[in-house]
Amino acid sequence: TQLGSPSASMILQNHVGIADHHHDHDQLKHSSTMDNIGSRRGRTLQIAGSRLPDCMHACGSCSPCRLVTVSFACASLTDESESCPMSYRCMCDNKSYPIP
Amino acid sequence: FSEEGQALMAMKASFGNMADTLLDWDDAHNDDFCSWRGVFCDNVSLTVVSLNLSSLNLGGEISPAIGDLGNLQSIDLQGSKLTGQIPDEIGNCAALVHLDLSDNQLYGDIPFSLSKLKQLEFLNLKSNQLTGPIPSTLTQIPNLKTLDLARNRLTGEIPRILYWNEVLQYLGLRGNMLSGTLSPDICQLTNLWYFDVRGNNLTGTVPDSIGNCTSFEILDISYNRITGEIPYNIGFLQVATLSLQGNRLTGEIPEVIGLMQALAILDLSENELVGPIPPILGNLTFTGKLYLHGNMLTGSIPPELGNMSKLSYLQLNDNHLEGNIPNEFGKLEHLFELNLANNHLDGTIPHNISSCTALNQFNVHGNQLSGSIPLSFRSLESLTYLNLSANNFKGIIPVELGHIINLDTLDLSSNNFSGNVPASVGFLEHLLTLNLSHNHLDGPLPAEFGNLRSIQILDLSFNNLSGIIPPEIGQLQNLMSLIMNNNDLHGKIPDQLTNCFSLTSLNLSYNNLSGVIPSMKNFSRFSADSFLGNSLLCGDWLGSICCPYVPKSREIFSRVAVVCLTLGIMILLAMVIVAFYRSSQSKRLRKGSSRTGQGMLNGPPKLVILHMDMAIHTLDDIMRSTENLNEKYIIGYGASSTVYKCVLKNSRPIAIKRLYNQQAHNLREFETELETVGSIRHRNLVTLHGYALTPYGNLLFYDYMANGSLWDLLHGPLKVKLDWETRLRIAVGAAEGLAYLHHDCNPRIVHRDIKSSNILLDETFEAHLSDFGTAKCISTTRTHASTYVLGTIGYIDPEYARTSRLNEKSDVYSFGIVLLELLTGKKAVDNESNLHQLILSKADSNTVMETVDPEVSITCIDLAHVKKTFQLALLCTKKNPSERPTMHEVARVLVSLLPSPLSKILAPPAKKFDYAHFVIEKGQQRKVEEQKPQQDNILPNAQWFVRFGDVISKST
Repeated sequence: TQLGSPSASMILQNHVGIADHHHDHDQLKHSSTMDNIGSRRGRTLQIAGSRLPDCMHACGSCSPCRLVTVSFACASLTDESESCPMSYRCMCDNKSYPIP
Repeated sequence: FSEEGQALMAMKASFGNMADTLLDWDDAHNDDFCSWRGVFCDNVSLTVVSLNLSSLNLGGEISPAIGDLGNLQSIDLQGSKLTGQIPDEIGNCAALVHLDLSDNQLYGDIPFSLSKLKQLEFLNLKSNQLTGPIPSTLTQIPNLKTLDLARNRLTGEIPRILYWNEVLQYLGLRGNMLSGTLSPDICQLTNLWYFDVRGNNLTGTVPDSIGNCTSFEILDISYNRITGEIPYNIGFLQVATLSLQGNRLTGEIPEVIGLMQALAILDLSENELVGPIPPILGNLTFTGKLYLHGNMLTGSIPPELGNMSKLSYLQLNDNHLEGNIPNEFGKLEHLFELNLANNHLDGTIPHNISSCTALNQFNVHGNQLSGSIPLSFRSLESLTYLNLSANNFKGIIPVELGHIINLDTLDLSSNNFSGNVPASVGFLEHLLTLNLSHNHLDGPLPAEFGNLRSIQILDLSFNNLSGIIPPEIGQLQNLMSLIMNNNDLHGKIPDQLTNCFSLTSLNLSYNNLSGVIPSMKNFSRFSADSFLGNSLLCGDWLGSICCPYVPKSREIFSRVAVVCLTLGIMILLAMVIVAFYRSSQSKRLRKGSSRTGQGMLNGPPKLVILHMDMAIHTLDDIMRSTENLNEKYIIGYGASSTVYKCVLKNSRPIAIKRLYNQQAHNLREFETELETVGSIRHRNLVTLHGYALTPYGNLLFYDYMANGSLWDLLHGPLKVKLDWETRLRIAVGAAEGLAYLHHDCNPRIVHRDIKSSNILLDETFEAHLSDFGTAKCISTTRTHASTYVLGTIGYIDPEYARTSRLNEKSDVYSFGIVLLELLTGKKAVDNESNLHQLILSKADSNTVMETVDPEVSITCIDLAHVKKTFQLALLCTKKNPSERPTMHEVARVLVSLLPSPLSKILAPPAKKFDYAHFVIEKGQQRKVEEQKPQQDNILPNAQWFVRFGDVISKST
């Protein structure tokens, strides 16, 4: 499968660990389709925020499936202090899978 | 020959550098274009389906003929220095799935015809010079997943219709000149995970609807002109990277960001954010980089940040933060960089900062911190940058700082530090910048500063330092800036400072220095500003004690008298001290004896004659002949010595080397070393005849060399024309002397400072190595025995410099550099030019022979010998020491290049080689046969030479 831009080489950064499965996900999905979100501050406060991706089923039959961060090489000659973006991937047997 | 073949030939014709790269694209010799470089065909239809010519440095332009390759599925021309415009005809490649033209110099607009590529999934035009708008017709490509147009010169707005693309996964628009706003429809990109518009001219606000972009993993809108506040709804994002850096965002940091557990990078720096840092940010336990610098944040730093257990980079500098540095920062085990500069922090540095063992950079510049430096800092072994400047720190500088061995920057300036500068600072062998200025430091400068071999900037100004300027500072070859003004330094300016060849900025003003400003080696390039305010210093400015200024003539005379009297007393005291020391060594000094005369009688200066050549002379004779080492007899300078010529009656002239920096406790070691060196005798080594320990310094007596050094002849003001044969003989002599040190001495000796100025030439221009062995004695000023790199820039073996592992191959490297000097007439280092690198670059382009000295070209009969010598020099300077020949091997090859009659004359009687055996050119083969060489001599030599020849072939 295509993983982003091949011209941006991915550098394995660090092992984050398997995130626990959480039950708020469905509720979060549901809330994203609600109208007039801003007016219900009390309720939205409970469901805002994010969690680490869950790699439990992301690698198909391959295990163990580990969550890692990858850094996209973006250094330019003119801006050495440029910070390179980072993203998450699920890794198994040196193969990278998209996060669910 | 098919239409596709013709198209490929047309493309080749439009490239610029195809002569070498696409040699096999040749329909005349091979019309099977499917076998051409970078061309891939379908097995069945034999049509071109893939073109991969990336990183081939093709140059030129893309030919419109590319449109005739109608079956192409993949085009990769990345990194080929292509210019011109993208041809419209590329839209005819209807089967194209992958198009990569990135990292070229393409200009013009993005052709609208790209919208005809209905199969396209991947489009990368990154890093070109494309102009004009982003064509909205790109959205007509139904399966486009990756669109990368970063680093071009695109203008106009991002087409709104682009936001409604539900297939797009990657949108890279970084580094263009796009304007307009972020559309409220931004989240209609329902499959996008990479959104990057960093470095454009976007205005407007962050849309409230941003929270709907739940597919985004990277959101980077840095360095635009986004205004307004950060919307609360940003908390619904699932991104790993959130970068809003370098905009004009106002208001406070929303607390909801503290719930975004998936964040790996949070960058809100360089905005206009106000208010406090929300303590809830401490809940971001998976965030590695937190950048909040360059805002107007107030309040104190929340201790809760200490809970961010994965944090590596914490930059809170350039805000209005106050209060203490939290103790809880000690819990950050992965912290690599901590920057709290330019705030209003007070209190002390928490002791448990030393628990941050991964800390590499620590910067608290420009706060109101007080107290002292915690001693526990020495456990921060990874620290390379330590900046405590512009605070209210006080107390002494801890000795422990000298154990943070990786430091390259130490800035403690503008504080209230007092006491002495610890000598342990001299252990920081990687230090580039040392700034202790504007403190209250007193006491002397440590001589150990001479060990700061990497130092470039040394600033000790505005303190109360006293004592002399250590001559050891003259050892600092990389020193560019020496700032010691406004102290209480006295004594003379050491001549050794003239050896700091990299020095461009010097300030010794407003001290109590005396004597004369050194005049050698272009030291006069420093103006009077560097020396003003030293009332006893003789210099070339109005008011100086030796400047003719009538109204102050008496005062000047008076000062001169004081200077002379002071110097006289100091010399007398030095003599007494040395005499006392010598006396205490040989026997116990009588009690009650206070007369100087008796002291002198008990411990006279010691003269040791190692060879009978000087037996008939005494130290008094030597001193009388040179008028007590008067300046007019000086014939040379070294990093730690001066050389005088001395003509004695009924004897050959001798050279006297006067050494500095000898300390009392090293005298015995010094004598032992010299007796070893004095036992070495070889025709190509300068002979040490004797030495003396005197109040004038330690003196070494050598043969006088009438023609000076090789450096003088090649690079001196009176350039002497040396023909090729003379140069070769010099090389042979130096090589044989060095081979003797490496292989025939017991113990073996590594010279460590082979260079053209250490190759002296007698009246017949025979080479004699000098300055061997003593370098080892001079440098033992450190308290513990460890070797550090010695030598001269331009000649130092890079492997030796890297590892400090010393062996004879380091000398071979330096000798290789000398060979290059002989061949080219150029200096090893000339301003910013490095001879070795020059020759390597010439070798790459096969133009080495252009660098030959004209004098060599004119006088050399066989230029093949010159070329062979170049090859030998490059072998000697191989990066891997094990690939370098030994000096025995080098000497043999050089001798083989000498004309035969002379080689016989030069051959020592002990060596019974027939050097003609090495001459293998056709013209002399008969000669070899005629001489009927002995069998037992042929095989070893011939075998060696073959091996050497193989190595030369490989290096060519």
